[in-house]
Amino acid sequence: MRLRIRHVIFVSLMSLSIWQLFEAGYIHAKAWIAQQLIQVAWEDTVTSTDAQQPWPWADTQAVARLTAQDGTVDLVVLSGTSGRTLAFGPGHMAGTALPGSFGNVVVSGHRDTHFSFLKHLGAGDQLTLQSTNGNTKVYEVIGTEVVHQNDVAVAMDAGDDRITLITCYPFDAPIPGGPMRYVVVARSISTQYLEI
Amino acid sequence: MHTPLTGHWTHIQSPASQIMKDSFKGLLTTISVGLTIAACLSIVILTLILTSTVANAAKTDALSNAKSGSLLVKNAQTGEYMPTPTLATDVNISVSGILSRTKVSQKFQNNSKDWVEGIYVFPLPENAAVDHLRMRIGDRIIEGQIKERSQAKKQFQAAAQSGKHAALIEQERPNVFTTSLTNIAPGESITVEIEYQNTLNYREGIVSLRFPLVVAPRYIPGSLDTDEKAATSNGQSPLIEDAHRISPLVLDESEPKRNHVNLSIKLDAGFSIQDIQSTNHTIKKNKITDQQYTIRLASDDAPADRDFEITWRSVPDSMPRSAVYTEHKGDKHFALITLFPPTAPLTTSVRLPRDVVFVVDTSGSMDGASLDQAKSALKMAVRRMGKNDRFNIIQFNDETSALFGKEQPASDKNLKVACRYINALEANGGTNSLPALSTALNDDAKPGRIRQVVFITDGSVGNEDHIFSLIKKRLGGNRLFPIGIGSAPNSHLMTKIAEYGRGTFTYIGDISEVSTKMGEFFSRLENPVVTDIKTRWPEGFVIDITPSVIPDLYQGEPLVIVAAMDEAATGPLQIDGLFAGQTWSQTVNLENQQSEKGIGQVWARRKISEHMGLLRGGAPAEAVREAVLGLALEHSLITKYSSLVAVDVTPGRTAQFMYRQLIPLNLPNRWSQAKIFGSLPQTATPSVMHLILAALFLLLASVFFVITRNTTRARQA
Repeated sequence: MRLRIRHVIFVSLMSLSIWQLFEAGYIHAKAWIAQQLIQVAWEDTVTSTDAQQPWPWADTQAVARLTAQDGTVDLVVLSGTSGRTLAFGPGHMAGTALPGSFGNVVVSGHRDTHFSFLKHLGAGDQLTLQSTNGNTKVYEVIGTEVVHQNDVAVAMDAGDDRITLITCYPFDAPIPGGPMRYVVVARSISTQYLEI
Repeated sequence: MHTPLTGHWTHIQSPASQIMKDSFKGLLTTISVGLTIAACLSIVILTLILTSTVANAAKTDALSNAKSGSLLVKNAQTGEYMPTPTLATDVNISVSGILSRTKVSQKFQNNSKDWVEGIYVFPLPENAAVDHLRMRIGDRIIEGQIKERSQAKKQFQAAAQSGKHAALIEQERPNVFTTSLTNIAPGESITVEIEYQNTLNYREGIVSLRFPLVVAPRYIPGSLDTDEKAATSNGQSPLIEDAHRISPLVLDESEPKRNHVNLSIKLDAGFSIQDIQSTNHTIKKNKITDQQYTIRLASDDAPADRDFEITWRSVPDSMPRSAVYTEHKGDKHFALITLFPPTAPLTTSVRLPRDVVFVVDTSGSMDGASLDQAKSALKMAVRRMGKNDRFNIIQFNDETSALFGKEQPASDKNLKVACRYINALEANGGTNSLPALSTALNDDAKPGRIRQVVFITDGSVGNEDHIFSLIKKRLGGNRLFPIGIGSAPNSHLMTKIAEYGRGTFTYIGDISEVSTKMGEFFSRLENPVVTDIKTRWPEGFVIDITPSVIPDLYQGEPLVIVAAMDEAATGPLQIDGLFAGQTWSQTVNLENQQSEKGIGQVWARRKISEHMGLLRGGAPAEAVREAVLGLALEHSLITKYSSLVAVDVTPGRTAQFMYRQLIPLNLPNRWSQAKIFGSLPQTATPSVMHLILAALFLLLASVFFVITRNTTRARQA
């Protein structure tokens, strides 16, 4: 009898542990699998004129592809920054410059999945952003900073041609929803004279 | 496989079950060892996560104390803020009668270590005919040339790439322009000078001159929408193609206002001046004669965060009833004719009952003083309603709502309800004016009644064309009266709404002006106008006049006609109209009149504006473009289809890269940034939390397992 209660408690604790492990895994799996599906949609987007949906019921679309010069990062950026969108990929913040156009292109992503690499970025690192028309621009990181979420200044046009990557800070805070944001700013170094 | 550690269970088991027993025990041992290791690991992981979180929290606190700016980004290597180019503006205005010539000098200073292309979005009066560009590099002056817009752009880009200095002025809206100046060397300063001609507003004996100093951030429908569906569009407005070129860069609120302005005016009024007043700035005046003054801003270097406006009044009866200016340019003769209709007050019996719909903007940009002005103007207007009048109030931001379902009689009870409604108005959200205007224009004037729509707004919208076409389509017998509020109303929008809505535009810049401006406004609203105005020119005269259809005149407004002629005028011009039901006519002598420069530009600018208006009425775009471009190239004017460009001869750039930098504008005075922009997105998932919980449960399970196993063993022993 004692044995059975013991077993029940043990098995429940183990199940809870596995469940939490699964939850964490699910977030990462969803983030990874979605990116694989979206990569396919991206190839179509670049080669066709219409925006392509990554899956039929998707309420977002691919707007850019973000890669690191050293090949460690390859992400497709989606439109919008709702929680649903960010689960699948980094999102382009509505109202900021469109990828490919002149201005401040603001992209935010989850600190523990897609944008966990931000903590490794430093001045001089190069990022490439490909827009839906196939054009690419190279950006060089010029600075990083931590700001409060209400400090929207970082998302505003800074007058130059830049990309601003935003993620939650601290990177490994156990409880999500903190007010701080980690910001990476990179400035365009493309020599091509693009229409603004 | 005998294990001395086994207990009494083994003695009553068969050999087969003995093997199972043993393997089970082995399994238990393995699990217990595994769990112990897992427990240790969990403890290590938990400790690591918790300590790093605490450390990061401490770090965050330190960082959050540091101030962050938008335009100034810290260089991670040097820790220094990177300087951006600055701009100082010098404005010289010379006024003769109601003609004004303005020179705007923009001095770009590159403080950075890089080569820079500076881009500056700036406002000008909506009727400004920009006809001159000069680029000053040290002692050298390079004159600009008028070119078809894309040609000018190509020429500019070629210069930019080959490392030559070049300046380009483009028109984004009739009152919003962009200066681009390329290849500014590190430490270099270059001045771009532009000149424009315009006519001043002249009403009830008061002339007003406005120089806009800010472009207010505009509401771009469909882009800053917080609605998720809208946000899934490509992030930029599907409605406004050039949103990024008309919503200018604004300076972060926390940074000191910059982009300083010097402004001076040489005023020759053409009549004796009674008093000169400035609406938003402190001015210094210096009297030369009764008719002539010099005026400048009291403080040099006033930040450009609100529009500059001055007015001057004529000494009673010193103002001529009509004035004619002429210009002979090339093979053409131009004449600007100003004429005042009679202003004798009429008997009130003519007054027809009115149905008035007040449409009031309660978007975020109206927050603060603007809404207070709107509220007090609205209250004055409502109290002024007569017993037979009917009224309604519609407010709009992202959404539209109305006080009543339809216009209600101005009874005491309804007026009380209205006042409560007005007091409760609050400003927040976007400026979606179309649905509100559409609701207001849903009805037409009833026989024997007048229907007027009073539109109170700061006009910070980007979809002007949609508003204009709505008004054109739905106006009917309605009359539209825009009232511009705040430190930087979009006067292009207001003027055109008044024109298409066949009403008049009133601008209220300050709360102290509300009662006088509204008083004038009501006298226009309530008094009859001169209608059906026609002009009769001397026989056999080839003439092209603007406006081609002469609008109704409200009380105190002058009739302004600009004409282009093939030969100098001989003989008088006769003007006929209907004034309070009776015919009214007047003759104007065109011969031997005062000659002034710039009349040709004024004529061409008005013609261009008329052509652009046809475009909204559905005229073929190609024909309009051709007509406008023809006028623009002939008169050297910047339009939607033509730009001024100046290119240096010698290449100067030595560096490989050049950075493009928009020069920020100040946010208009008393605007609140938080009401315009939201907050940054949420970007953390609970995955770390899940991991911690998983480790915690694993730890508990291990501890539990070890404890229970030990107690079992103890009992067995």
